[in-house]
Amino acid sequence: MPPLSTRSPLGGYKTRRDNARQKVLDKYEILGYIAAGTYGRVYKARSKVGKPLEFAIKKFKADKEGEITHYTGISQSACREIALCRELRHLNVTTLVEIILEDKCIYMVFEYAEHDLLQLVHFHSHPDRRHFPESTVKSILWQLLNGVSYLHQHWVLHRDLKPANIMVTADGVVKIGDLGLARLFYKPLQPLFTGDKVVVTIWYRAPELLLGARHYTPAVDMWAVGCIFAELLALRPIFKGEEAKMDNKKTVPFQRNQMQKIAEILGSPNKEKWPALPQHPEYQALSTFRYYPNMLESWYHSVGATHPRGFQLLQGLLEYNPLKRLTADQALQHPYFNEMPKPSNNIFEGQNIEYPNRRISNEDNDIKTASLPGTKRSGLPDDSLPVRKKARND
Amino acid sequence: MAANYWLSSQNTHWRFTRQQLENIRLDTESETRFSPSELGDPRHLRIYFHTLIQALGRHLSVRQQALATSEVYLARFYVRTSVQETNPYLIIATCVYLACKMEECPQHIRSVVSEAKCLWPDFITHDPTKLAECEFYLIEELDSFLIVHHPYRSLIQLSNALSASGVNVGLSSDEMQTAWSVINDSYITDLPLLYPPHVIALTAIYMSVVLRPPPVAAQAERSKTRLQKVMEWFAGCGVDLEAVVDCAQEMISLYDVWESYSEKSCRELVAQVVGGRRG
Repeated sequence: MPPLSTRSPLGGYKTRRDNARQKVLDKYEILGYIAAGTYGRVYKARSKVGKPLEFAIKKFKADKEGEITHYTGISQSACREIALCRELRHLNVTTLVEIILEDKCIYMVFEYAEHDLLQLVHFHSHPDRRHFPESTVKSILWQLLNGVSYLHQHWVLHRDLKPANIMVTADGVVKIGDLGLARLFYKPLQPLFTGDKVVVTIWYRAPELLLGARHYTPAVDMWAVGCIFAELLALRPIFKGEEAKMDNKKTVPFQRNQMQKIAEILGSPNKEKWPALPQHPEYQALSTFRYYPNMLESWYHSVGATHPRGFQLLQGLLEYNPLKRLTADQALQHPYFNEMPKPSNNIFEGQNIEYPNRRISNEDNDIKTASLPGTKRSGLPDDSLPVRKKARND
Repeated sequence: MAANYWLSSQNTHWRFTRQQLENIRLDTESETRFSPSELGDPRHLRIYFHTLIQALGRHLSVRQQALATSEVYLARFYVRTSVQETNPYLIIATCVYLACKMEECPQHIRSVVSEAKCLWPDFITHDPTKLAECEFYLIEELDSFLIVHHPYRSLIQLSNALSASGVNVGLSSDEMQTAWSVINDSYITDLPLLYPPHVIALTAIYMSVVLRPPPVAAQAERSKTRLQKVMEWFAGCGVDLEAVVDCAQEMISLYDVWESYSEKSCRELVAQVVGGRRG
């Protein structure tokens, strides 16, 4: 044992741990790169050890200053995602296989899903193609609700449900993914509003949030589920508003256009049906809106949907008043799911559509060195800055 | 999972029997420079670490729950790693930093480093990258299981249930305070690695009610009937009384050991074991 003075800080411990760690490239072969986000990149990989199964590896990038990468503290959203994914286990939630911490980077290894809802919607929205078969829509919705119900039962709010975040495996199983914005809502030390002021891609954002509500509830996720249901029927977002950008003062602007898109279809919100409406910070802004009648039923028919129970369910999800909006469990009990065709564990059951596989790019196969605008400079946790997440849905 | 202790990693992954813990620790300490006997009662060191966490928490105004999570991280970290291999001051600062993020009351890494440096100048450097690096090793050592269930919530639920069970049976505010302190102190022991949170909460109630002597003779009779009612309630709620007694014994023996605790000798011991390891 060398004299104490020459031993490096944590030296022996670090060496021992570093030597014991299996490297990500020892275990996985990188097949290509799938997507990039603010956090880093997602790669498709195949295991080298055991059965050659496919995986999606999400790499959280470390900060770079010049050529040297520094440890700066893991972002709060990465911490949340790690913590939640490590505990959650449900058929309809993306399964985390393992986490590898190596060379200042975090690699989260997930089971691979061949499709996502955005890609499936795009495929169908091609002019030569038809709508989703009714059984597919129903099965997707049922499995999605099943996953959301599990999250909510375990006090997890997803807060960013949108087609791009809903994966579908080759076997037709829906998997809710990307829990980077998810939060536990049981007795938070700080109100859930604090910090991340803008959450959920604007098209899927619930009206109470648009009107400045300070409390997130599971109803926020249920609104997004309603929007996704509508998008499966229409093959385009039901409320495709234009996002008002943050001004220089970093105050969160009222999303007027988005609110208007909602009112155009659902009608003007009113305090008779939504008593808490006048208490919302942006209530005054609504007074400048003209009156809109509720057009949801004619919208429903205009996109070619006919099922009356389906309409009821959609209406229950796209309910202005969050207290009256259907919960995931209530939605699962909806008569729509008892009627033929019954929802299936395989959303592709009974259809013979050949969906294309997920596109992967081989331009960047080097998981170890790929550089990109990634995580932020400072060790500041994500939440202290407003989330400026682009709608990656188009 | 997050809401259900039984399905949580705390129960399925980070819970041990006494025998398991002992075996792992024997292995952990098998090749260290100082033998365990040279380090004195390990609980003295645990008390010392507890006071360090509390001190850093005070400096940063961190909520109790986040400190409790830090203590669990620290206890888990030192299950398979010897204190002698590490700089415990850095590990403690890192536990607090990570726990604050997890409990949604994040602290800037620079504040944590500068407060820690202010408290322990010989062991912490100004460089925040050291703490950030340590965070990686901490998460790895925790096997990425970061959500921790605490007995505080169970204490409140149980105390409400107790109040609802009969007249004069509920906890007084003094007793609630005592129970709360017992839970705070339980983090010094192995109890969070051995028992579910509700068992520790029940122990805290048991200790605050049962083991407290009645204040004056005149009230002795009344407190006796109350004690009986509380014990009946304990029996009625189907708790593993043996576990509660075991926990209570652990706590009593901790308070015993605390009598001979000296902060100064612990500080010196750590300095000797850790050497001039900074950062």
